[in-house]
Amino acid sequence: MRYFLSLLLLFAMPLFSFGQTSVPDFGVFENDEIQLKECDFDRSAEAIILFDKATTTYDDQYNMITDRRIRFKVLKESGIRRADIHLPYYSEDRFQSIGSVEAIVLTEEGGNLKTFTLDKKSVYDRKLNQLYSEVVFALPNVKVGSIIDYRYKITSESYSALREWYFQSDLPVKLSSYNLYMNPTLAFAYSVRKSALYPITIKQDKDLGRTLFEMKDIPGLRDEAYSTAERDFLQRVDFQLSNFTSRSGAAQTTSTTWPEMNKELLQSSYFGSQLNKDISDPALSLSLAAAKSADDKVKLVHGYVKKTMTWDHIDSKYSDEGIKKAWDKKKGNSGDINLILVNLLKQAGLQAYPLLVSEREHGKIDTTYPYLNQFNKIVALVQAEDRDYILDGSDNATPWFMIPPSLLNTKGFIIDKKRSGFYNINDNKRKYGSYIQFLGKVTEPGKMMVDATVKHNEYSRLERAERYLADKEGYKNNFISSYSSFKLDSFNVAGIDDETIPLTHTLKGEYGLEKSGNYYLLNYNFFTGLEKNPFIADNRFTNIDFGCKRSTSFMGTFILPANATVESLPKSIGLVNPEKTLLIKRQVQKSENIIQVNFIIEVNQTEFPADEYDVVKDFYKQMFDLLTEPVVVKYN
Amino acid sequence: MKTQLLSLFLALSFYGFSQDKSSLLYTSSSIPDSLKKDASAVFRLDEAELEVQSPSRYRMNVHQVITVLNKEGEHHFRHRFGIDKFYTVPNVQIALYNDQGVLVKTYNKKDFQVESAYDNVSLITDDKLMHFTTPNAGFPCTMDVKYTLEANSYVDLPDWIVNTHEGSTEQFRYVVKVPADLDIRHRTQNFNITPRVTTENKTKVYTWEAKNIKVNKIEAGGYELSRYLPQVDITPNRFEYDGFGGSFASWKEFGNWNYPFYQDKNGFNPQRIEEIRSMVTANSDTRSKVNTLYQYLQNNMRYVSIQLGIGGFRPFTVKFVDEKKYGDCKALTNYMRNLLSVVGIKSYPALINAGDNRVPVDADFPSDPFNHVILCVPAAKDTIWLECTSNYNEPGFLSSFTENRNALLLTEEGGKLVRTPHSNYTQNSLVESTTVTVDENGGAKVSGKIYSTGSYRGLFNEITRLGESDQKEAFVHYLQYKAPDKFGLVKNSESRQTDSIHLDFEYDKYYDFKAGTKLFISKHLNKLSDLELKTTADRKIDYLLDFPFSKTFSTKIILPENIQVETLPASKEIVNQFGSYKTSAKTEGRQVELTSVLIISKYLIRPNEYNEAAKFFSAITENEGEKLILKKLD
Repeated sequence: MRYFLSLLLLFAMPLFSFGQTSVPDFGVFENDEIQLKECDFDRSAEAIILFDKATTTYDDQYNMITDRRIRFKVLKESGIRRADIHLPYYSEDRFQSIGSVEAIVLTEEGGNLKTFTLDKKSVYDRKLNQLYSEVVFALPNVKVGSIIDYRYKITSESYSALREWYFQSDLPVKLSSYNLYMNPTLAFAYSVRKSALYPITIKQDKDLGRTLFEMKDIPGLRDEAYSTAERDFLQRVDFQLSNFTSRSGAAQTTSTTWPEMNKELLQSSYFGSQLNKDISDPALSLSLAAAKSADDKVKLVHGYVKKTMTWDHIDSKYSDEGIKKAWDKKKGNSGDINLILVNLLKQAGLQAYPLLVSEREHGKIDTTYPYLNQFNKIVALVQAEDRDYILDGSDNATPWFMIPPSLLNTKGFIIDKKRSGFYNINDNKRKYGSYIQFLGKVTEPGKMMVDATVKHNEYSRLERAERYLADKEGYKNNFISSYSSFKLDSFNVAGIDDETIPLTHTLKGEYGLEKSGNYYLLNYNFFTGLEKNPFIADNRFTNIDFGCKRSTSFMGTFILPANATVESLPKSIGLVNPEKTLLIKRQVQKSENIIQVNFIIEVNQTEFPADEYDVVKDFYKQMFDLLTEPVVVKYN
Repeated sequence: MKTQLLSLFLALSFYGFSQDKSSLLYTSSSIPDSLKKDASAVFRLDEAELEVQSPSRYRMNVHQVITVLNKEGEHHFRHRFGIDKFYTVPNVQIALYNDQGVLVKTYNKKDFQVESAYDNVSLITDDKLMHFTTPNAGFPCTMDVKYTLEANSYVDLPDWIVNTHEGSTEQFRYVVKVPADLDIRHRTQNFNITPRVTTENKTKVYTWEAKNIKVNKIEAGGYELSRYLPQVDITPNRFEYDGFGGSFASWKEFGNWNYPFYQDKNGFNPQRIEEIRSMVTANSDTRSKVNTLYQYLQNNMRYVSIQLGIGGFRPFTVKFVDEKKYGDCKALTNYMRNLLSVVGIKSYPALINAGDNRVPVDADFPSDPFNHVILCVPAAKDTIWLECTSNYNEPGFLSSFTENRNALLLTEEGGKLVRTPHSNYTQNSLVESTTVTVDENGGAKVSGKIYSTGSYRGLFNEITRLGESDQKEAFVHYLQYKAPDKFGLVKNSESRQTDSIHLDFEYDKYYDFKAGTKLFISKHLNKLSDLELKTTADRKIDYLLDFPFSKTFSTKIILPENIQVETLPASKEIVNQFGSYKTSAKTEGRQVELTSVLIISKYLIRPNEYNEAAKFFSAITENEGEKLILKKLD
């Protein structure tokens, strides 16, 4: 799928005549809806959204009022759970409220179609936490074939609540229609993110200050392996106000250009001014005095902040109560911690900047569009003579010389007076690397004594070290859990305390070979972490994002008893795609009673677009075939 | 002078935080090695004082000094309290010390956040979660935690458990003060201590005390962890919850408290009664009537959990469920009970401690360990048990969620503790029959039928509900089917509950691998058994399989002209106390028939049988791993 982007300012739009696609009245159901058995553009869908239609307008206090109506049909058993509705809203200081909830269900009962109305008493409003609440209700009499029509009104204190409209969801949508009356005191911009496959209708009426967005027949988007943020791939329109100040004055979500956003953040008392606060620390200064290289300084400051501060598990782009207070409490959100980090790095004489980032799960940045909410947190960027560092003081696991994995393959924005601008965060150097050295000595029929060393480097080390520290016993059991006939005699992990060296596992044990007829099967796919092919789905909608390059190398020596012969030796073979971004090479050699099996697997591209899925899928299929082809051994 | 007095007073009242006592208590150096062994944290002090004020009020003061030794003990930094309108935590103080015993920081209730508790099941509850995470002062470090818990309504009283699975305890103390006329009932489990009991001014004081309790790692695969941990269990004689008073003097009494909640004077209206009666006109006996109405429930209702106040004990009305077609376990059970009552069948709600493989409730210690309710239709010979929240279970089938334990029947005469059925392998059966037509290039078309009962039926019903791509994912990654290039699955029935599904798969390459001209093919499309145990020198606790079962896999392979049988997998039969395994292969003309049957009749494996079971399971894996060897002629 290819995406195109368009940034359109309201006043630049040509005029169209208006007309929102009409839908049946509330609670009036049409014959084709009743007859509908499956979604013709998404056949495996458990339910279909027949229409999702909303109009946003304002009252005389310029409160933003959205009337939304959704009609969906349950197509499969698993879709029945969709009838439990959750409507979350931002309830802090009563910023938003939800009212006028109504719902009608059409269900066949004893051969007749009957309608059931949602009882007002069964609509609950509950507080989720300090910031959010939700309105919840369970719709009555829902079965496969039921059509549900519901509507509600969500009132926000201001248009700052205007964020985005999603045309797509995990269910297929027949009609998605959003009609926006803009608060005339505000200017705004919007940006449509959609696939070229699906047409959009945008109409605007300048006199009425109204814009209409409509899309039709969009299939549902479901979870996929090695996918980053689903949000990136959802068809949507994002909105940005350009001259608005929020109530607290804190959230400067209002810029129209990137330089303006940079300036506003630098001036913000929750952001820029924190960088100049004095939080010097004698202990740190003392150890810094001895540090010479940038490497040493980065390591020291980053380590000191990580050790001192505890992250409260809240991600933020700002300091909440000021970094002095957070430094004193030794605890804060990621905004507090990373502003402290930038502050101290600067004090240490380094070129350090706050870097706005959007983690992989949060979604990709649209660079044409100066919208702060595209980012979910800040980290520290240090630009030294020979290299850059990306540091997150709220991430306890990632060492100072690596990039937090959640930021790989994303784009950040530097906040600085002079250096402000986009910054590509990728790591083309460090890999997700595994190296396995395996010695298998077949002592008696079907029994192999194993002596192996397994090293995990860089990103692979990072992932494993965390798991190991959290649960050592579970980690050990997990290590051999895929090999049911494996019995461990010893298992040691070295290198856990030094993050610059590989995590090295040495193990000894006994493995039972599978037997078929007169043959024993000598497998060699040990400890590679490649047990199940993740790419078995027939189709793919989102990009395959590996984050970093991957490399697995296995060197196996198998010693057979003298009376064993090899029925056939797997071929030495290589498999590579034309771009050489996916590669497996297997070498199998036999001399006397010793068999050497070596293979390497490399993924040399960090991200593959969805339309190259077939290439990846075919490669993985053939790769797993190679990995599971044993040496067939016969005893004489 | 005045200020001096005041500071002296403060120093006395905050004794826990004072420096003199702390120096040793707040450093890890003073912990004996025997308590450090295998521990991720050491409770230097684990002390609670429960003050029962009345049948509806208590107050508990807790004081814990915890030294966290390493990252595995990190969860001790997370402080979580479940609160609601009856249970509150009026104060909490946490002091954090580094390993030199120096105070790093103190925290209190203001540092906590409160949010709505989400149990992953309920649409809504009034439970809230109050939580805070102490910063990590580096390992080891020590927290001094004090908090007060207040209840102004309760059913049961707090038990005090020592989590020896991951930590050790230097000093343990549980004190219960209760008006002598109320008193409590108590017991200890896995704990060889008796309380010191004194009475003063009509207040009875119980004190349990223990020192230097070492880590005792509990092996995986047994009952719930708490079954094996040292604990002091407390239960009130009388209690009052949300204005409803009751007693734990006996199971009968506790049943008496619950029973009225299930009395619904306004059941079905006359028209509905007529409709319900007409549903069973074709059924002559009780069992078939129960089956019909249970199927009506399963086809029309859905499970939605709503728990508010006494609503945690009292079901929604029959009318509500009848109109809305949803309810929680109480509401659906009560609804089913009323359906049965319309056609003259008597049944009782039964409280139960649900969950896979839970320890049966102790008949001699009435308390409230229940979290679920099911329905019991008593009969002289064949009592029928119904799980009313399931859309798939066969009538009478409970599953490992509620079987093999004690349930409290709520009857007109009060509570009666009765046994739920023992599970049986014939109830959980899986029969997979497939025909594989291999083509000349080694590809194949597969058509198969999966017939299932009991827990397997539930599993396959869940899978057939999914969209196609998720079905494929479940078959390949969960059920471990050989990944097909074309995937098709059809349910053989339009109803919500089906016991048979049909599959149509295609493979470009059906064999597992080739060696020269030989093709190696797995016996079946997926693994017969994933049972796996590693032999061990000294298993201490029982090992429980999910449920007893029987599996029959038969695969018929039809070969093309250019492919011949080279070697058939060996036949084998094993019979023992756990069940039996039998595999066989035969060939005739172009056909090969492979059959494997596994019966596990004993789901509870005693420690002394553990290694024998491990060997049995690995023998099955070994034999099932044996492949059919074919030869390609060219």
